[in-house]
Amino acid sequence: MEISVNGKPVTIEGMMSLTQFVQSRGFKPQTVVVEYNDEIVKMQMWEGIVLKPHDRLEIVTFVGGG
Amino acid sequence: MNDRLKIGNQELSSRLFLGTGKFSSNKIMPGAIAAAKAQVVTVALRRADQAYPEENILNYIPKDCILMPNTSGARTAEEAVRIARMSRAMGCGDWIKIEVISDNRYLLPDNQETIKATKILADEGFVVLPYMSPDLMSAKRLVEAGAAAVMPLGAPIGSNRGLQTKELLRILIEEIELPIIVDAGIGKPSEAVEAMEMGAAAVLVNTAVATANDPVAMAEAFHLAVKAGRQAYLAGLGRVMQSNASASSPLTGFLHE
Repeated sequence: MEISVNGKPVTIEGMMSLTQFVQSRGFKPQTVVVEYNDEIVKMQMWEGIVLKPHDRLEIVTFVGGG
Repeated sequence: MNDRLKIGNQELSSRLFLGTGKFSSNKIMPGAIAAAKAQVVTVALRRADQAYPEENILNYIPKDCILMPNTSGARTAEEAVRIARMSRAMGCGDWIKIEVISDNRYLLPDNQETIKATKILADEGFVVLPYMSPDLMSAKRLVEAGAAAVMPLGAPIGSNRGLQTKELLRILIEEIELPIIVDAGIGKPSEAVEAMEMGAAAVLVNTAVATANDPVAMAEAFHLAVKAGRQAYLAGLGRVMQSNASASSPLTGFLHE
């Protein structure tokens, strides 16, 4: 199925929780914030969210800036 | 000397805020932050890049620093509020530098949208430090909106052109009861001294340090400059004569008399 991650289409196979997805992309959960369909979801909630077609994720992190 | 800068419920001994953009490597950052003796450090929020998931900037910022995420990239109040909420969800405190810019050429802030975002976020308990174009009426509205400090620009972001807005900054310092922090434009330690001598509460510097040949040495130079300027302000500058001169030595007892 296809979901949107940071504005780009991404295809995933089978059932996947948000935790599994974030880890599969190589992110350390403590270093990112996730918006799931426009709502910020705390890390503790990720395990309970199973991704479905057309979900929209924004995964953001801190970078250098002034 | 117990000269603290109070912002929100924090008392700071350092009046030099440091940005973390444009460093050639994150590894330079800890040394620069230490040399600047900065207690407030800014960061930005961006989409996480899968290619570099290990490069966590927070590993390069001392844990006792106050982290001040900015809302750079926001073009409207609504976008700034969204970025601020995501930043707070990172769990690094509730300070936020509001930055709302829709002018891509000069990167000048949109004061109206900045005021709107300040009100919303201050009501949500953020410690809000808005970056703004130095305009007295806008600054007053930021105060009413609940800002913790006001951060007018000295010159366009990243330009290193110094205090081009000096007269407007002077008016804000005189008229606004909140701390005035000169943000953007300061390119040289001498300009930081000047801002502090004028009575700015602090300065925020990034490009001038990050793009110096030796960022760590430049960070120390800025630390010394901010300290010197602050002390000169507290000491009260001597008077300026509009014309002529005034001898510093006695005008009597000359050998030729």
